[in-house]
Amino acid sequence: MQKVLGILSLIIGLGLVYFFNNSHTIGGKPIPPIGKLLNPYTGAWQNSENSKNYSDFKLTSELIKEEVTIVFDDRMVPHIYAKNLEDAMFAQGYVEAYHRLFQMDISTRSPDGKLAEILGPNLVEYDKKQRRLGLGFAADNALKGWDNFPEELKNVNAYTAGVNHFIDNLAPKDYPIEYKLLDFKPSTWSNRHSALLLKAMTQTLADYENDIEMSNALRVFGKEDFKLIYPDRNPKDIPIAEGPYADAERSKDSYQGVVSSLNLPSIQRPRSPDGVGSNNWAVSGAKSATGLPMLANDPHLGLSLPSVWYEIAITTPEFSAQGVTLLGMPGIMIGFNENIAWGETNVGHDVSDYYTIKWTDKSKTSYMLDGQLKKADLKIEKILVKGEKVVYDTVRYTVWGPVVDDKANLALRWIAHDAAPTPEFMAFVNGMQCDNYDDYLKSTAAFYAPAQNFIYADNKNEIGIRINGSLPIKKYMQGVTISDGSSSENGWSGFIPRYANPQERNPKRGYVSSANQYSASEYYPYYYNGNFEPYRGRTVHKYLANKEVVDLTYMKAMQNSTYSMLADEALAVMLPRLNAESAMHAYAKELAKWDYHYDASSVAAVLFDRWFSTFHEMLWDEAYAQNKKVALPEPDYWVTVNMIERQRSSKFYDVVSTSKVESLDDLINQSFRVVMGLDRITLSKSKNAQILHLTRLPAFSEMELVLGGTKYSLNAMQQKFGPSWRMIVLLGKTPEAYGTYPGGQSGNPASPFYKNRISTWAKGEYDKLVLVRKSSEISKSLFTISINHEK
Amino acid sequence: MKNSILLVSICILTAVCSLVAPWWVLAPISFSVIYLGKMKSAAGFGIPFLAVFGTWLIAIYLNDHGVVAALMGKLLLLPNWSTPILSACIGGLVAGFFGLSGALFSYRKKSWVNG
Repeated sequence: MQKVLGILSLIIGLGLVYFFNNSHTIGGKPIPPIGKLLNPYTGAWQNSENSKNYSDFKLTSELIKEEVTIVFDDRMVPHIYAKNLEDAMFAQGYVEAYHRLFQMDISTRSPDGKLAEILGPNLVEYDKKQRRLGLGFAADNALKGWDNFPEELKNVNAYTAGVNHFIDNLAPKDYPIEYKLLDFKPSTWSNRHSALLLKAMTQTLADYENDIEMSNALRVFGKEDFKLIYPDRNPKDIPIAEGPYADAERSKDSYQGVVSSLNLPSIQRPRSPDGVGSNNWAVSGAKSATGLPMLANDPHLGLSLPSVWYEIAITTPEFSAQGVTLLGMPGIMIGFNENIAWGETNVGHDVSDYYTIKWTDKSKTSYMLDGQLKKADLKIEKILVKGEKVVYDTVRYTVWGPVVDDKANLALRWIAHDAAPTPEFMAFVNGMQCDNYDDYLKSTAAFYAPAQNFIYADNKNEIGIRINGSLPIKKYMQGVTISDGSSSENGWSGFIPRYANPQERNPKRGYVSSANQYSASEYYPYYYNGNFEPYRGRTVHKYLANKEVVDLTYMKAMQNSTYSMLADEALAVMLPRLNAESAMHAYAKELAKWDYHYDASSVAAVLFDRWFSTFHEMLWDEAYAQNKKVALPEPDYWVTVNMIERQRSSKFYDVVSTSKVESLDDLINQSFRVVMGLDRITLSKSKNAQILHLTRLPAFSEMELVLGGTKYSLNAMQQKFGPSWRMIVLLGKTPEAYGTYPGGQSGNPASPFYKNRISTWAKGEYDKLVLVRKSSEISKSLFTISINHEK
Repeated sequence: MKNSILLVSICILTAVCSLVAPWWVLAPISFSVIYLGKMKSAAGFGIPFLAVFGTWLIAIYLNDHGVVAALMGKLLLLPNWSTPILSACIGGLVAGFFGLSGALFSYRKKSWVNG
């Protein structure tokens, strides 16, 4: 009996060890390996970080040439002091891995389609879609291109060595907490990971397309109505570089290769999300309170914890620069040095187009191009799945690119797949070392994708802005819809020569700016289509053109402005058209008193949003009503505003589903009745802003933030998207800089520096960013890492 | 006295071995110590449970300053104070069952020798 009980007890004990040592799924919910996670020796308890127990340490590596010192200041910003650039890049790789290893890992797994391997079967479909987009293929192409630049490659090699130096010396007890939760180990970093991150950035910023929906719309509405509902450009727009340009004669009726006879469902796939955008502007010394230029930049991205950005300072005998970097790539992307400041916003040109493929066989191995049979390259994708069998998928590559959806038979021509002529990150590595605009223009000229509006200011009183990136030359309407892939004539006709990329240098108006609007005026000699922001660009102009002298306070107020030009313009038409009864309603009075600012406590902002969206959908019921039968693009809000400002009557004002023929006034009043039935609710409550951890775990996230802003205000805060970094630099003998972002330097949720900056950022306040030339001059530091050469 | 010696032995062995071995090293330690100590069933479970529970709890309090406790509390939807106790219970339970097993096996051996 004792023996039986002993065996039973042993079985229970072994069962507990097995259960606590492995991940499980119970009731559809993943359960981490609790024993591994909660034991005090190697579990999560080891990740506890206390600001009092930071201490200096030393490292050695045979890969660095001379001693490197990294001082972490009291904001946990690493200041790297190296005697040469390669050693500095090694140190950059080390500190980024030190603070954000899991983030770097997951951010490269996503484009590579390797999330199911660590997160389980729920991610298989996502992985498949990413692989069908060919992001791994794109990274491999990038690496082939980088191999042609051995000198430049030394920097990324040094960066990679720095990351791996950290990983190789990491004990299991020190793994970031997410590895313990998900029960996997960090893998070796390679240059391919940096290439993947660049491709992920291209996906976020330059994978805007609605070709299928536009093709359907062209068929449903016909050319005339299509142009009215989905116009080429907003006539009110003030482009980034106004010109003058020599007007090119281009036919607006060619429609060559445009496919409109399809009725395809939308392809659900990861792509550039709505809400991505940015602002930047630089004012000249003539317009600045300091007499020298000032520069501001705030990229709007999906907000996450850890933060998208990592603040860093790099000093070598040749330069000293500070700013933020995108994890996984060497160099400083947005920042300043002793003489210049720089930043970027996204260019909205459409560089991702679908082409129809006419297969010649059932197994889809050959297709027709220019009347000839072409073989597709078949790539077998092997997707590892945590706890389950391997999944295989076949991706077909055509002359256009990968076939993203086998049912739709559409191949994707996307700039991300091209082998860039030089490594893109060199724009940031070289850019941070410049001290004049000519050098900066040279350093950034080779940037390929995603195209960015690079803004610049220096202490020699120069300001400028230029699109850096490859922009395809297209025929009119090319890429707006699906293109016919059976003829190579329907492909892009090359790329706009770099010298012709829109740009401005020291314009008379005294400032340069961009906010994702059109790059150039309609007279620009190259046709382009894409996704362009209609209000923020004009808001920047409004603020800067009307101000004689701009100072720091004004720059800060601009970045934090919640003014909506959309609300201003729309209400100017809509409010006066309310009937007497509606105009007397409390909500109408509240809207009439409103200053069009989307403050967190604003009720009017919520009322306007609901009123305008209801009105917009009633106006374009022709499109919205058919959306259930055929996938159609949503008309833009600016089209609605422009229409009601200019057209008192239109066939589109009639609601198709009613027997009555409605007028503009009918629509305005009917839509307002919906608003009259709403409860009073503040914007912050309605918005429910949150910053989620990369794993979406609420415990590691910041929920229920009280924030104002709208996608149409300079402070473009939406529920999960918003200003991910705000920076203002006042150029001078020594630069005066300010910055903030929603997060913290550490990626460790158990660190006091994980989300310590959120409150400052949410209040619209800034940290002072101090460039310190010598390590000994940092007044308050947390700890220092010394890296010495090991023979 | 014997109970105390066994309890301290398990504490020390668990604390030292866990620095180099996986967390479940406490299982063979508990089994071996209790088996060699020839304890009765109740003590066979109780001593390793208390030893590992205490060792883990102390180790947790030495490492954490309430930060991970709060994170785990949010993650597991439990009060913050309970997560160190829950962790220690996990270690204690595993140790307890292996200790019990050691006691039952040692009891059988003793009976056989005496009989």
